[in-house]
Amino acid sequence: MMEMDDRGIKFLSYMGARGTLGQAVFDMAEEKKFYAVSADLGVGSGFSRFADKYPERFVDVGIAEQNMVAVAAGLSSKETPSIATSWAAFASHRCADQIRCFLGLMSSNVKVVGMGSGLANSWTGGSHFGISELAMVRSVPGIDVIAPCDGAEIYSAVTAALLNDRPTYIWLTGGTRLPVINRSEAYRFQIGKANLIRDGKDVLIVGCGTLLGECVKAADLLDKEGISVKILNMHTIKPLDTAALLSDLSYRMIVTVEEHNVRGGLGSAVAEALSEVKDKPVQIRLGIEDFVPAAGDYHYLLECCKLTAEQIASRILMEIS
Amino acid sequence: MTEIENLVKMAQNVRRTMVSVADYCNNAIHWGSSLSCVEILLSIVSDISNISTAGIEDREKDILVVSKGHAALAYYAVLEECGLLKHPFVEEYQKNGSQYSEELTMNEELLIKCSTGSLGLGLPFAAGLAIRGKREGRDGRIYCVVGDGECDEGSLWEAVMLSAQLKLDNLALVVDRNRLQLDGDTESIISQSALPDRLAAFGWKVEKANGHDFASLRAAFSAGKETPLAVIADTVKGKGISFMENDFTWHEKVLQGKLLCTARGEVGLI
Repeated sequence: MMEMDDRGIKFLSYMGARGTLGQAVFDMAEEKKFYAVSADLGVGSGFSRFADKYPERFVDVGIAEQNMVAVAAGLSSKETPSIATSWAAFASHRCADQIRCFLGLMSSNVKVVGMGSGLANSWTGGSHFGISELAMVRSVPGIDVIAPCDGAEIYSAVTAALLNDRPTYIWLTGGTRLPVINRSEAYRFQIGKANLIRDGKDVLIVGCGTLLGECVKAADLLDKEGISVKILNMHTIKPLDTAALLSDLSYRMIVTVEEHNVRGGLGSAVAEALSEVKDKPVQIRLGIEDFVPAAGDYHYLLECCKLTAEQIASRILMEIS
Repeated sequence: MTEIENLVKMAQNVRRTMVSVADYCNNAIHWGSSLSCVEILLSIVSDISNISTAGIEDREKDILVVSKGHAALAYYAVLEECGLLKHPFVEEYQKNGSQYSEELTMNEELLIKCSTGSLGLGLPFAAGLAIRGKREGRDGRIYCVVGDGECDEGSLWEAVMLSAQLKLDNLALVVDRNRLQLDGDTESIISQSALPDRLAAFGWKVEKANGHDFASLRAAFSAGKETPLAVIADTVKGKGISFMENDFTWHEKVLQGKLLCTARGEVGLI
């Protein structure tokens, strides 16, 4: 297994989201038996080395995502998980009933990975965007939902999920180059435990996925304006770390930031938790405002959705003044 | 009494148990599709597989996935008839919080590996079990019972293709060919008359059987095992209760009053 020192963290972020996924699966195969299933995206999932070395543990079901999840469930047991991968849109909505029945109703030990989540597949147009799965999967009872933010966290999330026996959905944002969010000193990852990225006193940003890179840059910009920002990396959408979220509500505002529809994702999960508290700051939900942007480069799409660091910072400035 | 005669008697007992449920349950029940597969389920559980045999090691054990979850009532009654239930289920069926729900819910004690009722999910799951069986050197055979109406579901065909591709010779699919689905005759909705040809074209070994005849089922299941095997079992929906037979309105309905009396008489409960 890789050490999460500075070099390891940088290396994984350089590998990109799917390269890191493949590395984690390859390394974990030495430690634990599991099956990997893909819907004609074995190579795209970075599974080539795993499939070459452990052909008896790899199944490619072809372009059939419903079959992928059901076969993964049949292959799995409490002791032996399955990991199933496809593009986010197809690993979720296409096989929604299989996720509901096998991961939800039967608690099958299956880890579904939605690759290209958010707007990572920027050039394809809406068919391959992954901007609504969080709403779907987190409404299915009993499923852990994780949205890792950089190479280190993708590696940790995949290995942690393979080591437990819980049904899990991993919302894998990010393309070939990932931001480096985590630092080696005091690096930790535990499903359900949010990580503090930076401390501050005026504004609390709660984010998830690789878009946290923009949040960090936005906080730097706000710092220059004299606004101190705390950033909480809510890598686990479900179960939500409400203890970390509600431990301190002395901020002037809470801002949730996500590469997902503002209806149903991280912002909604945070709002649900805050709704049960009496005295609390106002929450601003930044995300995709219930529309599907046209295809373009990734940065262009962030601009369309008002999710670049500059746009996040200026929105917060506007709201706070 | 020959084994076959004994199985016929067991099937009579199963239908009697099923009808006796109506004394305690006033809810709608999937009578038609439960009654059509009594012999199929009995044949697998009691005759062809080792499911009801005691002392079989896990890796040798056959597994049954009843994908047509509507057949839950028949399944429970078959388990009881084969001595696989610790307690009688009749008074518990469809009671609040009971494990005997109208569709099958995963339950190790009841040998239910897969929650079904959402149609088209059982065969892909069974294919996963069969792949695991082959990869891990297990000898047990995986049986999967689907309805003919269920063959409308595309997810079933994804598994049909994969099973042939991976030569899952440890997988046996049984189609309860009762020719009726909720809205009526299968042939007037999505015709399944070409089902044997379709499965054969996908690379499956296909056998036909009389789904109410234990000797016929036994012969079909013993066909060569180099590819996945599909047994198309011709059946009668509502089999054994005259007014339900071949009447699609008995797909799911409450059985009560005079009709319950008639049904009780026909299965020998009076």
